[in-house]
Amino acid sequence: MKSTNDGSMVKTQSMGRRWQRQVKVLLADDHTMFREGLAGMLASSYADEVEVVGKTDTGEEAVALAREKNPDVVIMQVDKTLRKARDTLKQIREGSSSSPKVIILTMFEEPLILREILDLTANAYIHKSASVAELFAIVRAAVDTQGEHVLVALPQGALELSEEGEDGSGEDASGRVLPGKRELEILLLVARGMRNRKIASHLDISEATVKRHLANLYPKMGVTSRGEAVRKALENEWFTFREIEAAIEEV
Amino acid sequence: MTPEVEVVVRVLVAIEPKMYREVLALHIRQQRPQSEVVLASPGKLEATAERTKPHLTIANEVPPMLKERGFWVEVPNDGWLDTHISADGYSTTLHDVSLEDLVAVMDKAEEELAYYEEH
Repeated sequence: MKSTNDGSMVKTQSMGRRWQRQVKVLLADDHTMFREGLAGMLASSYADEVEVVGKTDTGEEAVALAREKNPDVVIMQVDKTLRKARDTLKQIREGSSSSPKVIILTMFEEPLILREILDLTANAYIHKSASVAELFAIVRAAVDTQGEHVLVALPQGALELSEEGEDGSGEDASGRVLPGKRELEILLLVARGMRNRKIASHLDISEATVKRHLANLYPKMGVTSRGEAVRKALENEWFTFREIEAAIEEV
Repeated sequence: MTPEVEVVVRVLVAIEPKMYREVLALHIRQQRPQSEVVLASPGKLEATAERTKPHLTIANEVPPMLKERGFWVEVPNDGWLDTHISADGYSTTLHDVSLEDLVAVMDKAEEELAYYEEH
C-alpha cells in the first residue's frame, strides 16, 4: 500500500506486511464477553498493528463512534435484524470521513440467513468459528483490498449449505425441502441410532449444535420426531437403508 | 480475597464458536497467569476433561459428570446471553456474562482449592 494523504496507511518495505501506522478498528458486538475480550486481544497480541479506537454494543453508538473516531475498519456483528444492520452500515459509511472498511462477523450457519448477510454489501464477512488470527488476516486484507472485491471467510460447510437447492433456497425444483449437507450428515447418524451426544462427538461439534440442526430441520420436513424424520428421509431417498447399515458397525 | 496457599487452577475452555474460545482463554491467561488454561472443541470436551482433570469447565453444555466434579460455567450458544454458573455450591444465571464474571468464578475456584490445601 502506498502512502497518500494524512490518515492513510503506509506499509514499509522492510517490514513486509506491517503498517507504519496502526489500523484504527472500531468493534460493534452485543456480546460483552466477546467484545471486551477481542478488544483486549487486539490491544495485546496485535498491538503493533491495530489500535481499537472504540467498542460498542449498539448500532446507533457504532455510527456515532465511526463519525467521531474515523476508524479504518469497523468490525460489526449482525443478528437477524438485517434491515437494521444495513442501515447501520450505510450510516457508518456516510457519516465517517475515513470511509471505513466494514467487516461483518456472524454466528449464523443457516443458508438463507447467510445469503442475506452476504447481501449487506460489506467489504468482508467472517464467521465466528474462525480464529482470531484469521479475523486479523481479514482485517489486513480488507485494508489492502482496493475496488469492489469482497472477502469471505465462512466454514466450507456453510458455503455448501448456501448452495443447496436449485434456487439456493433449500428446495428442489418441485418445492420439496432439501436438507443442508450438515443436516443430512446428522440425520444419517440419527438413522444409525446415535444419540445426540455421540453424534456431537463423532462430528466434533457441540451437542447443542446437533440439537439446533435437528430443530431447524424438523419443521422444514414437517416432522416432530427422530423416527419420523428418518422415515421421511428414506421416502425422499436422501439416503438408503444400505447407507444406514453400512456404518452400523462403526457406531 | 487472595488465598495464602498458592494453587494452580486448571480451566478447560470448550466453547463454540472458536473465536470466543480463543478470546476467553487469552483473557484468563492474561488475568490469572498462574492458572493452566486448556482449550478443546466441544466434541473433544469429555476426552480432554478426562486427561486434564479441570477444576473449572467452561462449555456450551457441561456434561453431568463434570458438573459433579467441580466448578462449571455453561454458556449456551443459542444466543449466548444467559449463562449458568455453578461455583462453591451455589448456582446462578447471568445475562450477558462479562470477562470479569468469569474471572471471578476462577477466583472462587482458587479460594476453594487453597482452602482444601490448607486443611
